[in-house]
Amino acid sequence: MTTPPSPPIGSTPFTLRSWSLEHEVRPLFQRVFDERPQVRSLLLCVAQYWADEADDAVHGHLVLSARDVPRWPHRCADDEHPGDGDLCTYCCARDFNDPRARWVSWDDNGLAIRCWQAFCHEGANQEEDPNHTSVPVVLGRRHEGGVALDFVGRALRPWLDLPTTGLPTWFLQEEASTPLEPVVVTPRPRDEAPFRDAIAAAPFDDGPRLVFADWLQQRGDPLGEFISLSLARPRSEAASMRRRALVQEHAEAWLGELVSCVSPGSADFSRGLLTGASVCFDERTEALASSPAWATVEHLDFAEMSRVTFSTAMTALTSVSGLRREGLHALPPTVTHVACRPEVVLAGLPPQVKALTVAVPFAASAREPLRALLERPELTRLERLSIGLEPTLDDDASPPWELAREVLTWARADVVSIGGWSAGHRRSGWWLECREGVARLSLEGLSTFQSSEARAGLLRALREWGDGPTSVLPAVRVVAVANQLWKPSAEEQASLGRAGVPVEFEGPPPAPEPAPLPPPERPPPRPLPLVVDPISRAVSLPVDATARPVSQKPVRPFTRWFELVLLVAAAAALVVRACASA
Amino acid sequence: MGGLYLALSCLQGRPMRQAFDALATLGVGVQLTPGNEPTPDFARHVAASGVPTRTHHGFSFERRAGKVWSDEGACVASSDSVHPPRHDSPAAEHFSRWLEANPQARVLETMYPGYCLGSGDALEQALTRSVPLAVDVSHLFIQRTAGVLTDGTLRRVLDSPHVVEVHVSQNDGRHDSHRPLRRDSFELGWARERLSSGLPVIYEAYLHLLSDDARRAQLDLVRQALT
Repeated sequence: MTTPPSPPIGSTPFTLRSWSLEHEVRPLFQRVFDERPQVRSLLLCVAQYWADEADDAVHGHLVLSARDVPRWPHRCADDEHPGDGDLCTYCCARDFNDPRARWVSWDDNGLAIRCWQAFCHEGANQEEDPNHTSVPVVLGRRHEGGVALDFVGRALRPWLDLPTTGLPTWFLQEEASTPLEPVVVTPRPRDEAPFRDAIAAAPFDDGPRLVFADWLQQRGDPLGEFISLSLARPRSEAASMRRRALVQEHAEAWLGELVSCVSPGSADFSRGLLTGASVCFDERTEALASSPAWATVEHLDFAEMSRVTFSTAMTALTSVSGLRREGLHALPPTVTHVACRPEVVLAGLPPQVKALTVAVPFAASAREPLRALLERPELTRLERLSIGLEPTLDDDASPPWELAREVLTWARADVVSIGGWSAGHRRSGWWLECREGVARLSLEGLSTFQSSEARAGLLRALREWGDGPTSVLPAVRVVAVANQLWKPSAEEQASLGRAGVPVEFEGPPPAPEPAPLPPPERPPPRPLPLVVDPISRAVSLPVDATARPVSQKPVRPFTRWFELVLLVAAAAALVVRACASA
Repeated sequence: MGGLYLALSCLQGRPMRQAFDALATLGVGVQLTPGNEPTPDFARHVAASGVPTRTHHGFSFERRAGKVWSDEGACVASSDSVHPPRHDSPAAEHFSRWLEANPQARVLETMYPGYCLGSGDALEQALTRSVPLAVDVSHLFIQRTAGVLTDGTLRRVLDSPHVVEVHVSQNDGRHDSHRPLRRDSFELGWARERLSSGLPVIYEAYLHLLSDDARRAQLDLVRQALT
């Protein structure tokens, strides 16, 4: 089987990624499914390691599972721990020279950089555990003899997912004259303007969107089918798969002129048209803030270094993340939900904000500032307060229950939540949402805060919350909510039931825990030639007197006699000396 | 020009201008290094900022990284300091001849196994030829851990009058991971002496995951350790 030619390296990261998904990831997943019948799901994770030469290689890492979704973070089996039943690239190989460590065989220093770097953590290095360096991006499951791909990654560095993203170093050095492929934005037909105006006038109403969808479908425009699928309730698995395929093919085109400032890897089309996005405004693209294309956007995330700019075109905007101090004064009056860091809260939160998410470092040093923040009076008027724990350097990490306990003890909003927070300003990992004595536990995304330790920490905080002014937990019961990413097995449910707080489960009935995947075959160890004495039953290992390491010189008998004579002489001298002194 | 600098690669992967501005607010110089996304008019922005700068290795205003060594072994970069070639690059086989012919042409950084000038023997040759050196103490730590740098050669490198630039960061001796400094980081005391004698000292740890306060604390740690 030959691999089709890759698109030009100067294509956009989105185009290259679509190619990689179909021609690198899907065949790889199919091969693993074919070779290992017990495997039901696969998780592709990516990590970028930097080097002094700024090569910025992007490495792929695979987790195989007999479950619906592989456990993440994955725990390899070792001499002291049985592992979590899944297998990964490393525990299958144990050695980088083993070809199984190279299952993901794309060009780490080539195409993979431009395809995947926007989804990788910053500052990762090869010394760290893959669970910390890698980010899950694609979930694969068996489907009708083939592979269903589910894109579970979110752009953590949206500025590297734009058409203007620089080409990899290796390419520039080899073919310095090749330019980036220009992105041709095909304008939407003029006669759809009345439909778009109607949608902009009632952005939260599905009616105008469905009318628009019908009109588009009559013209054979795939956007029409996509809007219909997006608004259909309930949505079948087949419809979801078709919808994902359409996004994978058309997301960049549907962004229109916003393609210069919105990362396709972050774009959310959940209501058929652009509903949410991470934006990177700079001096070149800031003018796009007034584009009418923003009219359907309900959630806007400002990337880490984006300028914070709003406009009157953002009529549907209700939620903003990545907000910074400079954007506070211009916050549109429609925005009631804000996600930011503590310094923005300290700068003065506008009274329109009813729901607040504060991102704090998942670090022991964050505990005191967090309590001070929670005691501020302006936080008492909130309806919802969420604390997102951002990853930090390993040696400063705090046990999750300590920070969670601070939140559950001191937060005074009607609804209080705590859980993991990703660099892309989104919930990631386990979340606990507390309201009127009920705590809902759910998995909101795949991240290191998905570990069982993190989940246990949140539940421990529910047991040990202190004597503070919080009103959300007069009596606690936990409702654990299953979803696409987490379907607890019967064994896992039983384990959660031993957490010390009553736990109920919401979702489909539990399935039994699948058998762990068999470890890879290794050559059997050579048995030792032990000899058992038939009378004493003593066990001994016979030594072949003639066997010796190649490098060891033979011991000459003369040397041993000489040593013996010296030893006897020395002993005699000592005896004579002792007698003389006596 | 001496003093304390932050490498632009402390925020590697980010757009040049934003990384530069974030580092410049910390009140020290910036060493322009490869690995950041090019931004328009960055050269003019740097010039207008008034921030002291130096250049390193394949830094380019127009691209993520420029070429440093030609396949024929010539150094084609004009930065204040450069890495010697990697052993697996075509330039490596010409490096000894190039160094013999051009011993003072470039400031060369002390590296680790896998690179030219990545072992004690190679450093001894550089010392013999009076090659101006950018001493990265974290790289020397990797050499020590790999067993390719003796005490004697380490002392000779650190005592050399040909050291013209110093790089500091933390690693565990296996990979050049650019971790934040600790008080016990390898040869930090020596770096302090060199800073006080007027050499430029470049802080090279990754700062992405650190808040502004934590970044300032890192610099305070460096200043505390260095002054």
